[in-house]
Amino acid sequence: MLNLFKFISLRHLFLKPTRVLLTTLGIALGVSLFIAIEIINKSTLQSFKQSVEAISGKANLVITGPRVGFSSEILDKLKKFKEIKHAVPMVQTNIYFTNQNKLNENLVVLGVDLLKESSVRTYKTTDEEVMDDPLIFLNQPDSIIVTHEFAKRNNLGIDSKIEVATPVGIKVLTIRGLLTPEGVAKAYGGALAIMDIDGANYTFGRMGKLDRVDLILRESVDLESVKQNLSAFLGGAFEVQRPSENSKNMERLVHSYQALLSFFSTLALLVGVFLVINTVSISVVERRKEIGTLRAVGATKISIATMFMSEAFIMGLVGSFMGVFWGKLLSHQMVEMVATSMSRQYVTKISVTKIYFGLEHVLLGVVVGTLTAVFAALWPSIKASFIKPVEAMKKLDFNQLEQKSTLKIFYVGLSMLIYLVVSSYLGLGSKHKVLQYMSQGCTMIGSALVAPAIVTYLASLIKKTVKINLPLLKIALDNLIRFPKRTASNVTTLMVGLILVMMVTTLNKSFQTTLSNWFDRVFKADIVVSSSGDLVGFQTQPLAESIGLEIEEKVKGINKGVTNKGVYALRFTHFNMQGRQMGIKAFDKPDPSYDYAMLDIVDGPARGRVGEKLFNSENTIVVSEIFKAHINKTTGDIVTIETPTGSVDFKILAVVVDYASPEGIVYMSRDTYKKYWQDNLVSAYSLTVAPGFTVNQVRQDIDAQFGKSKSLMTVSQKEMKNNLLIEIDKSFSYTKAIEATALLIAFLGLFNTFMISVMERLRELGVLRAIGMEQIQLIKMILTEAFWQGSLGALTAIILGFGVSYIFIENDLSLILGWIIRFSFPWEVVGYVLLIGIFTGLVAAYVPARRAAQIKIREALEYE
Amino acid sequence: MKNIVEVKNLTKKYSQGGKHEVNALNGVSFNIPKGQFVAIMGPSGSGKSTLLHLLGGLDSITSGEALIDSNSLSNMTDSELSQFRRQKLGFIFQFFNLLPTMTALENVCLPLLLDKKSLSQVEARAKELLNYLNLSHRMNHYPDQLSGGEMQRVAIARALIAEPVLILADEPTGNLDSKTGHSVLELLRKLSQEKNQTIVMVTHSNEAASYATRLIEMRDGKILTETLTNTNAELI
Repeated sequence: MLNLFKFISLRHLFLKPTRVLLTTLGIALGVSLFIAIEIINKSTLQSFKQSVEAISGKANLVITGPRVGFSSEILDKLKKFKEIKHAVPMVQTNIYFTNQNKLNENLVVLGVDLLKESSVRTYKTTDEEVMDDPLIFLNQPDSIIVTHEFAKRNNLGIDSKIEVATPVGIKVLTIRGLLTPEGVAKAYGGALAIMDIDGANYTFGRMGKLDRVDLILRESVDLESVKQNLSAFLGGAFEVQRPSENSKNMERLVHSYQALLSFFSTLALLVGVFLVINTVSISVVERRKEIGTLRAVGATKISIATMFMSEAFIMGLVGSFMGVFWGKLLSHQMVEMVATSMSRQYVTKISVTKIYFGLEHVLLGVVVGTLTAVFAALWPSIKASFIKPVEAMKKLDFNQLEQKSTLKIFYVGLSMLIYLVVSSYLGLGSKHKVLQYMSQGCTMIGSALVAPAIVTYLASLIKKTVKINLPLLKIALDNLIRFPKRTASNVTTLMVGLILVMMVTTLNKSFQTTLSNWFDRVFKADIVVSSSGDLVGFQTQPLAESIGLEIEEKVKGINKGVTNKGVYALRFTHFNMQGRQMGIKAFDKPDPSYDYAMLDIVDGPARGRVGEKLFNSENTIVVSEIFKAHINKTTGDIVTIETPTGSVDFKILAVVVDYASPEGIVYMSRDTYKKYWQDNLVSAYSLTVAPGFTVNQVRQDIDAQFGKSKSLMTVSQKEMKNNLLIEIDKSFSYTKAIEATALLIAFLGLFNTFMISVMERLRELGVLRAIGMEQIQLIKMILTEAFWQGSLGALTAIILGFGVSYIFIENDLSLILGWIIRFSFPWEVVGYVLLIGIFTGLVAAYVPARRAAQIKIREALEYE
Repeated sequence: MKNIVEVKNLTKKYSQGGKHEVNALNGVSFNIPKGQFVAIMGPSGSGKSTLLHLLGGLDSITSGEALIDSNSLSNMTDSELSQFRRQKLGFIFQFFNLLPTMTALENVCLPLLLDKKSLSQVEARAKELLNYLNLSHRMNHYPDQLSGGEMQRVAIARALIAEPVLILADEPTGNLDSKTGHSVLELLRKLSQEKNQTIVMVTHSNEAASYATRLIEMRDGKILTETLTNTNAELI
């Protein structure tokens, strides 16, 4: 067997360098995307973990509470636990600093008690730029320490002033020290600042509040029992965790996002499978005589199959190593957009400072890539081993080969697609990784197998319904119909790549349409006011309640309706429930003219009734579909929420659609929220414009009066919607890399099969030249075939892409991602996919067509 | 009588592995008048197929000249040669070489379709030819639905569609049984006699050559003998 590999397989690889190179590149591209996503997934989590560890320092346990903070009285309560050696308080807030490029930079500000800090965390300032006087730092609430990197990037130094938005407007902070990138300063990629705890609370209007307490326990105490005792003592609104558990929560939270990334990267790898199948299949057909001879002189079936698989193994191995290397490069390009997208989605700063690439990635890439190539070669290799010596010696009749098994293949493909529908409907993919891979395999392989029949049918339909007078167009179309297998091998890789493009685009479109429609239904305000930042992702500084009153009083043109109230507050924050970061939206009771539009009810009584109850009776809430799915509570049920003031039972009035959090959302009146959360801050204000005024007039008035002094920004309804759609686009920006990779592999596959099909048809092309076909006519003929193949491949991809995207979005997506998204087909992309199909076909066929035109007629006629 | 083929000192050299050259044709000269049915015979490597390829403009001439219907092939561009083949020459191959995706009728029309004529313009002529060759009942069949003899007759019709000045046949009976072979050869002779069609046929078979009116025997790239034959019997 080794001899077969040495004397035949290896030599064949060198005999067909272009084909081997193209196939190897295809595998490399598939592996590169797969590995890039793995590296990114690992790097984002590791970076987050490192940030958590850096901030937790030497703490044994960390107490966290509601996102809005908890009372600092907790420190006194903790004194009764003798096992606690040090309890170190901290407040944590995000500020949005406008840098010299006028871009908003997100800075995490830690408010710490410097006198207690040394027991938990270490800070090191640069030698040259030490804090002049620690007492000034403590005594001046405007003191802030930033990282050296941040200061350098923004051209700042000791005593530099920075303006930051706070709930009560702009405040100026003074830099009193610079941190070296060690210990805490390594967290969040250096986008971090330190303030004194009281200074921070004063500056950000959170007096008496804490966000976390780090605990150092006495030696030889049982950490687990202390943890349990503390949890029981503090109640459900608090979480007592080891630092490592915090990053585990994050791991679970981003799991769905990463699963989607992996889903598409695995599909891109599967596109490469078809490239290998084509290459090996064609190699088998070309080498029938060789197989016959080998079988005649005693080669076994297994050795023949092994011979072909070993060739795929070599291509897979080389391609995988290349892919791992490229994957590392690709991960550097993609990591920022993925991290940004994740940060927005999970409202938690995720900053990747280091790409985690290790031996595990090399091994994973090489194993996955090589196994994929060998797996792809399995079927053609087995088929090769079953060729009988006598048959193999005979002249190959392509006509006869073509007639066989096209229908059989169609039924196999159809069965796979039926399995996909059933598996998707039953949610099998989410139950086990193997079942998920099976579904993915069925998506691609099933589509590929039904494709030849669909392409042939479409071509026949065109032939029957459209009168084609141009002979070249007709010859090319006839070629497609009469040789479905050849057509299929050319079209499959392209089609599979295009299906992936369709899936990604349909997913994006479905998100856009679903959210856009939802926005139109629920959002009735003309203007939203918030502090500067990213309102769509609620990455803004909360505002004081008083600002709303000021706006209402001073700004002209606000519609005050029948209640004489013009500015409505919304508070958006999070709370923990069963280990999930649930969102809260607390609304002011809206004007009756709003008709409770924000309640987009899917389960429950009429909107008006729900609205009246929500705002007029105590302890009532409305929950989102995802909340219902995660917590398993619905309309009429009672749900217990751990509030900062204790456990409270709420009655669920209805279930609504909301997309602000993939974990789940609870709506309540702001009165209820303030009562239990003890938080008067506001995330955003909304208002409508009075008759006789324009949106611009009112906005300009707010900007003039509050824009600079309070660092407020105004967003119109239209802008808000646009921003939302842009954010979705940004969230899907990484998918461009997936599309590009899939199309590149498809291009390589098509180029490969066109080169091969030119060789296969050498005699036919020679005859055409002999009877008078000009070189340019030959090129046109092959390009016309490519046109048909590209367009029919694209059409088939559109049909199948429509089907598999529907199944994926309606069934699998909500299981993977948590979002309940309605399928929306991107009709505008039909033209785009058609164009890509035709363009890829033409470009891939151009070089083979030119080569075909240059063949020597005499040699072509003698070719067998 | 006008010469359809005029060959003067025709030479063809092939390079083999760089410097080494093989003389496939070595200064061959002859003329073929209109209506003559010429058979070229010789063992493998004698240069008969090379000669046929050069006459068909399928390969480039190293030196010398070949005139077909007073047109020199040496000075033509690839595009001119293609046009010349479409309009002036007809080819018949051993393996028929019909396009599998086209019906018999479409195969016959192909040279004229390539000449930018529409199917409706050339259909009548193609049908007439197929009728002449007793294939009118098979005109909408694909090659894989035809017998060997039928396929070769379609190929002959394709060769005739443009009313060529010269038909070049490369072992036209090499892939047919003897009965079908005879009928094909009979057809070629009939074309030569009744339609005054000039035909050059390369063959290994004495029996096939016996249908021709002139026999050229080649060896080592040169013409060995030339015989004019009036009847089959003289050759056999």
